[in-house]
Amino acid sequence: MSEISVKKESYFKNSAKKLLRNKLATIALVVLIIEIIIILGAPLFTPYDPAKQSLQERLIPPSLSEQPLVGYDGEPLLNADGEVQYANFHLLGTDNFGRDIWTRIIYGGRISLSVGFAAIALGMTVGVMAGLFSAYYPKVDAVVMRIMDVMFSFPGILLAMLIVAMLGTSLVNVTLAISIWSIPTFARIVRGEALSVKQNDYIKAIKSIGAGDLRIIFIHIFPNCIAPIVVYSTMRMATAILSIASLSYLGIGAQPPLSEWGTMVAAGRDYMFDAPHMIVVPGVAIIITMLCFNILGDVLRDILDPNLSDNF
Amino acid sequence: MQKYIAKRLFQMVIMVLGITFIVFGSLYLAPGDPAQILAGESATLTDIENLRESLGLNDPFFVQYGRYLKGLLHGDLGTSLQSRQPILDEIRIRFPNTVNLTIGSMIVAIVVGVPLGIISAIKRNSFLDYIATTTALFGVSIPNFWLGIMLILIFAVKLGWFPTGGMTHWFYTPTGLKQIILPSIALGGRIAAIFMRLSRSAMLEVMQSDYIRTARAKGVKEKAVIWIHAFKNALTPLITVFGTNFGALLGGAMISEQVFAINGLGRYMINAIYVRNYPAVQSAVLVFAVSFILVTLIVDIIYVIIDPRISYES
Repeated sequence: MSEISVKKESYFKNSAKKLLRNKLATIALVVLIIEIIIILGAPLFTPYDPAKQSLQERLIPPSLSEQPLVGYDGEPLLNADGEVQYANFHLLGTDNFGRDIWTRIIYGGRISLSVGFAAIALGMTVGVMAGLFSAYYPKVDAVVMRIMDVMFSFPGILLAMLIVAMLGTSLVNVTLAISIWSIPTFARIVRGEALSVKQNDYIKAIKSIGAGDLRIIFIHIFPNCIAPIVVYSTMRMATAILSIASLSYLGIGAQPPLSEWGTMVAAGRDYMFDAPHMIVVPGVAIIITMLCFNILGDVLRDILDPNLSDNF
Repeated sequence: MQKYIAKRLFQMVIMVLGITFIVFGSLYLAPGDPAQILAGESATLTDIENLRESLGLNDPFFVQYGRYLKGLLHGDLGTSLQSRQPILDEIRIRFPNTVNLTIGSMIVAIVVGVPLGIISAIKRNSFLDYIATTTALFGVSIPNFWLGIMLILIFAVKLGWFPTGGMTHWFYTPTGLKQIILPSIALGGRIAAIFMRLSRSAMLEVMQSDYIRTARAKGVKEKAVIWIHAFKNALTPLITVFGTNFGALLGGAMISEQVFAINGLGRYMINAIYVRNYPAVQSAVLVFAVSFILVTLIVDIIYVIIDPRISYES
């Protein structure tokens, strides 16, 4: 009798392979990884300090070479010998305080990404718990899901603003606001998935051999809900980064002199005629990050959620 | 049908109650003593205590909440801590501008998003589809405050086609139309991209269904298949999406109003946040949330009317 060999490959390994087969998704992933490396190692990638002002070097446009220093009257600044003085090299130019924009972008990314990750992690944990327990215990369901309904009927950004308005403008409160805003959707997605998993015969079988509720919920139901959680978290990251930038732009997120992408755009508004790069550069940073998360979210959904795969 | 509407109305009342509770609760928990703020800098402790007593701020939470609800039913949203004017009057002036902006953006979103989605679904994997899906991907990735500033910079400052901001007329008047185009694109662009993606996938799903195959098999012309058989059915799931995205529109309206200096409810709310004018913040949130619920309700009712497959009873 010959042995039948079955090539075993885990579900996640298989999904990762499918993801890497998609060119666009691979590019998005690589860009994101590079971005995260630069942001985490920010001091290694810039000689400047994000908060250090240098008023002589204000509003220098982006360029590949060193730019001459210009005075407030628009005339070049000369040194004692009558020679034109040059500013330090600023690839993406400087802002109205002469701060290097590249430096502020990569330090600002720390805020966007860390607030985003923290908010999603927190919202996901609470939402997933709420969803799992609601699906398993009908009594919990009645209460928790009604609360979620009310939260759902509140447009997300309003809820975030209400929280920030009441608790005060700080990054911690913004994180809290965005995570609370993510809870109901995570709860609904997980609840729906868990409800259908719960109907399976193997759950009844495990129950009949005496497994405890918590064991069933976390070891047997939860792993089946991971795919939609991964998809939704990725998509949600894009929204979270957008929300942080929007709240900061409105002046109720990160506060100056902290460098944050939305705050940088807001600061650039007063100089949009003289130095449009102050607005364009942070905007492009937001767009690149959002694009990567959106592309990854789309592709992950196609791979992990077979019901939707045909549509895209 | 009536039963369904009655049920939804009842649910709505519960929702609104829940929201008033959140709003009032947050006012109650907000830092700072309203009596002290109202009494001003020079007030003595006795003055403040008297004011507290006369405002009923010493009463238990639920007594205060009941009084707040009673006030709401009489159209009393409280007094602005900044201007000392009734908040209802302040909101009444500003809300039409927000409605105007929201309608304009919704028109942009539907007129641009839905046809693009349908066309790219019909011509799937064509160059046009590729361009449309890429544009939509950018559409959902560009922050609307940034898009707004760029539009001002290009079309208002450089080209001078539109004013840089402000809103004085309704969108159907010539002046109003000029004022609303840029803010509507800034706000509606993202939603248009969402609509495009959704209508594309809805249309693709319908096009793969059996009855479309049957229609084609019996020799119905492709145009008739698309527009008579498929389009109508693809449209129904989109209607709920219009409703849920209305919330995103309201949220975005705040940002768009700020960028284009439109004197609307969103800008009022943001200014109230800056100066810690809590009653005004809460009233604005309440008005926003209630309008969102109302729109969702209307959309749901339209949905059951146009889609006979939905049973009203369940």
